[in-house]
Amino acid sequence: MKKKNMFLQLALSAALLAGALSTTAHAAEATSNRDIPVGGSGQVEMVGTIEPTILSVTMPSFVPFNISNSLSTQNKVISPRINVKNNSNVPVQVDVAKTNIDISKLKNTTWSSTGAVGPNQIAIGLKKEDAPNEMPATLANARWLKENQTENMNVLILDSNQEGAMYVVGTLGDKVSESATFNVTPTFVVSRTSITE
Amino acid sequence: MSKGKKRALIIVVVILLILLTIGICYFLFTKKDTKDLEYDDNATTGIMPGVDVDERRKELQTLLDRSMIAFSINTSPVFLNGTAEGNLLIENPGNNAKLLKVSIIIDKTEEEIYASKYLKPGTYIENVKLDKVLEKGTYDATAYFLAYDEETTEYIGQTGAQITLTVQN
Repeated sequence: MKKKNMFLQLALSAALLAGALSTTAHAAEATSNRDIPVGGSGQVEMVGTIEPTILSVTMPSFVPFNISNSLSTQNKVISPRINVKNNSNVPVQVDVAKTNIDISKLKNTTWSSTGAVGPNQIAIGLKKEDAPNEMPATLANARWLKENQTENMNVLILDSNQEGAMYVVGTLGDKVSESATFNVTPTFVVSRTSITE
Repeated sequence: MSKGKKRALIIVVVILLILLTIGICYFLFTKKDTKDLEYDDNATTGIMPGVDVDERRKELQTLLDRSMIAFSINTSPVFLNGTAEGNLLIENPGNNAKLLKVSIIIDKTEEEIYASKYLKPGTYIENVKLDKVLEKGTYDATAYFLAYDEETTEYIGQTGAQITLTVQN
């Protein structure tokens, strides 16, 4: 009986000792984790990384077109579909930054920046696509390319991951020679925008 | 003359008449056709310019599609100082099939501050050092992407992207 009591006392002591040790260990762990006690204060380091905004676009670098008075429509230009694709996660706008115009081979011909032409004038512009894959027949809402242009002229606004298209449009007076060629070279510049359509 | 010989003679005469008729017809019709098919030396093979609008449009579309370029660039690269590298992140994607060169022009002064060499399709440049030392500040600039034929290196055209450079110190 005595032996049994002693064994129980020893077991109890061992259990108490083990309990005390585990409490100490837990306290030490809490301290190493730097828990902030309620009502206390502490410093937490926050590291932020600024991800750069990448502009990713697919667009033409060269726009060929033909113009002829023989077309029966108000728009006298045969234009390819100028497709622009915004692959970015931000909206973008497409502007014409500058336009190089060389009509020196067209004798006695001047440039019109408004779309209204006299007998010896020629005007070229850009127009957003109205109907899918159809060249515009009219000149309404065309943006006209200007000689010695200094300000950016917006021609297209695209939402993130959106695709859009436009066409070259134009007209010419009846005395403009159709036997010579001329060069109009607009430079498209794309930029981030907050403008939405 | 026997009856058999007479019949044979008639058959031969009929055959000769048929052959003669065929010969005359062939001579007459062949002569007429040859007269109609006199080709003009001034004629040029192909579609006359300005006549077929759809055909002309297809040709122009092919030219434009060949000039399409894809590119990527960081819109706001940062440089620690005027001589340090900045994260321009310019890319010529693998599907481009064109060589690209990049030229950065400061909008206000029209000064070129960076010009890359040719970038092959499927390559990119992460950090660049500017060719001109810029003072601390923020600069609006345009990055022009000049496209060249991959095989002939013939210039195709260019397009641009508006960016803002920041030099921190």
